[in-house]
Formats: sequence, structure tokens, C-alpha cells
Amino acid sequence: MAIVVEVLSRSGKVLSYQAFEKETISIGRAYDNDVRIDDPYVEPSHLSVSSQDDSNTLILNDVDSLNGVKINGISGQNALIGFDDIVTIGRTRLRIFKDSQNVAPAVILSKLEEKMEWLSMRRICALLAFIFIGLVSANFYFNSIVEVNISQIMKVSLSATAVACIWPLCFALLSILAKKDAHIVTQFNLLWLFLICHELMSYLQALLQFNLSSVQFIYWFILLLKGILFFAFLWFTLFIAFHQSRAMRNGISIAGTALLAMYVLAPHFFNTQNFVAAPRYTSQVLSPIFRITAPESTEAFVERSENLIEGLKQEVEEDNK
Amino acid sequence: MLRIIIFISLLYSQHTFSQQTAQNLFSQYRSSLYQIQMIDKESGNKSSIGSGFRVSENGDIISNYHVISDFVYFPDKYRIQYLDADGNTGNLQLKNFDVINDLSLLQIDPAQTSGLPFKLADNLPLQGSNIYSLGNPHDLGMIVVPGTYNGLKKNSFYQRIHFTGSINPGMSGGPAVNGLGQIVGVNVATAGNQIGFLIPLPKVKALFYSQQQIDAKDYKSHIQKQLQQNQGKMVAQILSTPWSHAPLGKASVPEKISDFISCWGGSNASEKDVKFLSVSSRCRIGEAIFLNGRLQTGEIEIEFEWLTSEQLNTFQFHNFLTQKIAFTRPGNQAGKNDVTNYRCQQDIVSNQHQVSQKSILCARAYKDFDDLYDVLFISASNDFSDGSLISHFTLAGVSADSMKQFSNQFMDSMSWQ
Repeated sequence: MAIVVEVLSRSGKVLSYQAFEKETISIGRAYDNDVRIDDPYVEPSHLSVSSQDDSNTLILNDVDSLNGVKINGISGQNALIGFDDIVTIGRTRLRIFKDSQNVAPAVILSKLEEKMEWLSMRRICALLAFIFIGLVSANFYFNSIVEVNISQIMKVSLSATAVACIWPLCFALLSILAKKDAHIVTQFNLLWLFLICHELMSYLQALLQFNLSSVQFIYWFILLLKGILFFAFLWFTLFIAFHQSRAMRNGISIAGTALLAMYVLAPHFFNTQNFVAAPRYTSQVLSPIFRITAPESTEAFVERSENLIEGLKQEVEEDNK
Repeated sequence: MLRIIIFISLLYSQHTFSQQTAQNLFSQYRSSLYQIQMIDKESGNKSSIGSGFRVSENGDIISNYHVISDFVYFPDKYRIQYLDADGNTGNLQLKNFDVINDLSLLQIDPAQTSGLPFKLADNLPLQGSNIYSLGNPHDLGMIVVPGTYNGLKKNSFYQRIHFTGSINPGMSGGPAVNGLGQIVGVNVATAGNQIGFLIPLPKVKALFYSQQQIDAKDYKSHIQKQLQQNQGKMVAQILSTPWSHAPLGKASVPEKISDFISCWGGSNASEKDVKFLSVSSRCRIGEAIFLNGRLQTGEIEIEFEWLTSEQLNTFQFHNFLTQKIAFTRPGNQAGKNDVTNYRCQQDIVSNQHQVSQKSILCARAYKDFDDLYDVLFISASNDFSDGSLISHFTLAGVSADSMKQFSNQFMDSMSWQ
């Protein structure tokens, strides 16, 4: 039967632990203690702990210290303590319990973790980064109607890449602070995948809006897809960075997505009553090679304007009420 | 021989009479000329002025619609007041108005009038005759402006007399008379140096003889009726005349769709450092119907632009097209209280000549008038990887039927050469 002493950090993390095959141990700043604590507020011989044979609890005994002992924040001199109690002496937090204490059963190793193994490959990271830079460059080049040279394109795409890098670096730093593995390559891969998918969705939106007449529906559909994509991205980022519970991870991801959604959607829900003299429409035009639908006839198109007129009539009626 | 002498003496007397006219006109009819003022009931101050003239013993006064438009829209906020040559003021009643020809018929209390009213001439004068425009420019007092009758304005949907002489702000609603002091028109607008426009006699007669009394509650429906009738006539006239076509780049587009719609061409061929070639043709009716300070209607605009580029690749070119057609402005001025926001529909449409176009059709409704819409259309053709025809039109204040008929004809009018 041994006594285990854990020194805890402020956030409850175990900084060190020791086990003693003894009935009684002493804790203090002096070198002859079993557990030596280098804290100026701790007495040379601060307290002793002895075990009771048949129970899981230990008896704590304060050796008349200047600053006393706090058990779960409450001052006391002699007390019975166990695994669930935090003992504070000076500025040090300890957990003292018997080694017969039960521990939680093992958690099943997530299959996801194994499946994501490929994301930590550096080669893939380089490839994806290359694809992303390529997409940004192409976008910039095809959108410009004035003379552009390679250096301008590089400047734009590399600065976009540099800004994007802030995200995985932040999370890697946070994981290190939380004493977890940084997984920096995986984080970067996730970012590239997210950005590439986002870019591809924008292309899909342009293609659909060019070909189909229901541009509003397409806009919302792609926005929804992008929302789901962002949720997944945030979820996996958290999954890799920290080992929080599933509920917590889901919660943070939903909250993050909701926050972004509010930012994106706010203009759609406020100021909708404003009068705008010019019409607002989507004017997406692509090269004829991207035409995937058969064109409508003039008659059918003009006949469809009946819906516009109906909508306007209703609007005027509501306005006159 | 005697007959010749009599004829010559008659001619002579006519000549001396007209020489005296300019001097006599003002003194003869000064008591029948009025300044028309819109008085803001709250502040009691005049918010705008124009001219008007009495044409009957019963106190009928004719002026422009735009002089009293504030009263038509806000009968509770404004009243119409006259100021006669002797400085007397009093209220006027609005009897009738014609927004299409910018005329209004007002009523003064006959007991407050003196002197002879103006008489309406039997006919319009001969081209080149001297006529005189009377009015009250810049609030300076009544003046007489001599000028020449130059016939009816050519290529105009709304008949206007072309008057060579200066009409200035505030003279609106004043009379234009022939040498005998008879009304031949009403001052309405100026087109700059020495070119003025008058509403011709027949329109004035039509309003005067109608003698219809419109109630304040029926003002809007009265306008609505006139607008609907006018747009119906105008669109029917445009659609019934065959449209002549002219080449524009690879396309053949309507060149002149009606006599009263004038067109101009342009290109960027002389500009350097542009990566695309643009040739364009723009047509406008150039005349609008004034309804109130924020709302004009009746405009028609048609534009075609052929764009092509050898330097831009097909992706760049189509991105450029996307931006090029992203913003269009309505042809007429309208405010929040008058019209709704635009609603749009779009699709790729192939017309009867197999011209495929990404087409966007937008419309907004007039809040005060049933079945009147401002229509806006823009399209970019999608048949060539390096060239595109942008087609655009705006119609202001047309019915849903007119919109459909015009859109159909317009969209089917382009072809490739």
C-alpha cells in the first residue's frame, strides 16, 4: 500500500508525481521531507500524511504551519483526504491519495485518428500548398483585364498564402501551450484542403449561376455548403489540436460557424427594406465552352416575366396596406 | 386695278399692325397674365412659380402641369395662388390637367378678373411667322419675348412647337401668341440658346374644351389613365413600324426603331492602351413625362455594344463581360415613394436567329399606378469565345403587356451577320 503525491498546476495538470511505500510521509521545504516543495510560503516541515489501513482515505496532519493548509479551498488542520481533494499549501497544489485508487477504463483509440494519418505527410502538404497558390494565381490572372506580370501574381498569391498561414500556426501554438503535440503539418494540410474546397465551390457557383436561372437558390445552396465546410474544418482543427470531449468540440465548432454565419448573413436580414434605384442581379458570364444547359427560347423567357409582375403586384399591395 | 390697290393697302395695314403688336401686346392683355405660385401651407411661402393666362370670361386659366405638380401630389400641403399684373393675389382651383402634354386648367373667381381674356387662335401659324412668348422669368415681372414659329418639332413623339427665341425658367405656363394676340401655344421648355419648345394649340384646345372637373381624390387615377393610354400608343407605334438593321461588329442590330428615337454611335478605336475594341450604338427618346420632382417617366433607351478582344484570353474576356454588365442604371428618375425595388430574372436565351445571350430582365412597379412598370433589360451574347454583343434597353412607365411585347421583339431582333 503506497501513498501517491501529485503536484498540480493552476489548471489542474499534473506537474510531477511520486509514490511512497510508507505508512506516513512528510511534506515541506526542508530536505529531509519525503516530498520536498520549493515554495517560500511552505514551512520546512509543513504537514504529514498517514494512511488508514482499511479505507481509501488518508489522514492529513498540519504541523502547526504559519500559512496553514487548505483542503478544497477551506482551511483545516487535520482532515481525511482522498483522490477528489485538492490540498493547497503556500502556493502549491497537491493531490494525495492511495495507489489503490481506481482509474478510468481506457478510451477506445479513435479510428479517425488513424485515418487522418496521411494528413501528416509533408509531401501532401507541399502539393496542396502548390495547388492553392496555383488557384489563387489563376483567379487573379483571369480576373484582370490590364497587363499583369509574374511578379504581381506571385506577390498577390504569396501574400494570400502568408495570411492564411496564421490560422494553423495559431492552433499549433495553442496545442503546444496545452502540452499537446503541435501536428503542424496536419494543421496546414487541413487549411489547404479547406481553402481549395472553398475555391472550387466558388467556381461551382459561377458555373451554376451562369447556366441556370435560379441564381438566388444557387447562392444560398453554395453558402450552405461553405458553412458545412467551415464547420468540418473547425471541427477537425480542434480534433487535431486538443483532446477535448466530443460534446465540447461540437459545441465550439457550432458556435464558431454560427458566428461566421451571423457575419455573412447580417446584410441579408438587415436593411432589406432600403430603396435602391439600380437593379441588383447576378451577371455571371462564362466562356461558351462552359455552357452545360440548353438555352431557353425568347418566348418562354418573356412569358416567365409573369412571375416578376405577380411578385411586384403583391409587393405594391403589401406596401399600400 | 382697284382690287390690287385694295389688296396692297390691306397688306400694308396688316404689316403696320404686326409692327405695333410687340408694343401693344403686353398692355392689351396684361390683366389676363398671371404668375402662378405654389404656396406651402405650413410656411406660407411660395415654393415654386410659373406663369398662366386666362382664356375665358368664366375664369379658366391655362398653365403647365409641372408648375402645379406639387399640388396634385400633395393637395393637403400646398395651395395654388395667382399674382396678377396689379399685384393682387388669390387662390386658384385645379380643374383638370394633362401630364402627357404638361398642361393644367385652373379656375379663378370671375369676379376678380378684369380686361379681355386671351383668345385661342383658329390655326397654327405659318412657318417663319413672328410669334411672342409671354411669361415671368426669374420672378422679375411679366415680359414679352419675340421669336419665330419654326413648325412642329421633327421626330418627336409628343408634338411641340419649335420656337426660336429664349424661354427661361419661370416662363413655363405662359402663353405664346401670334401677331393678333391669339394663343398658338404654351411655353414649356428650352433647349439652350434661342431654342424653345411650346405645347401646340390643339393640345391646349383639347384640354380647354373638355371642361371636365377632376376631384382631388381622382388625381392619381387621372394620371394613371393618361400614362397608360400614352404608353400603349407609344409602344404600339414602335412595334408596328419595321425596325431597320445595321451591322455592329459581327452582329446585326436594330439601328432605328422609330422616328422619334434618335441614335448615336461610338467606338474606342482612337483610345490607346485598351485591350478590347468596343463599338456601340445608343438610342434615346430624349423626352420624358414629368410627374413630380422625383419622378419622371416615358423614357426609352436602347443600347448595343460589340466588344471583342484579341489580347485577352477567353476567361479574362468573359470576366470582363461579367463586370461590364454588372451595373446598369434605370433610364428614368424615381424615388422610394414612387416605385418598388427592381426584381430580376435571368437565363441563357437563344433567339429566333440563334443568337444565344445571357439575359437579365428586371422590372419595378409604380406604387401609385396600376399596371405601370419600369423595365430594364441587359444581355451579353454567348456565341464567341472572344467577342460579345451587349444589348440593353430601358422602358419607363409601360404596362406588363407592353413590356412582354417589346422584350420579345427586342430579344429576337439581333442576328449574326
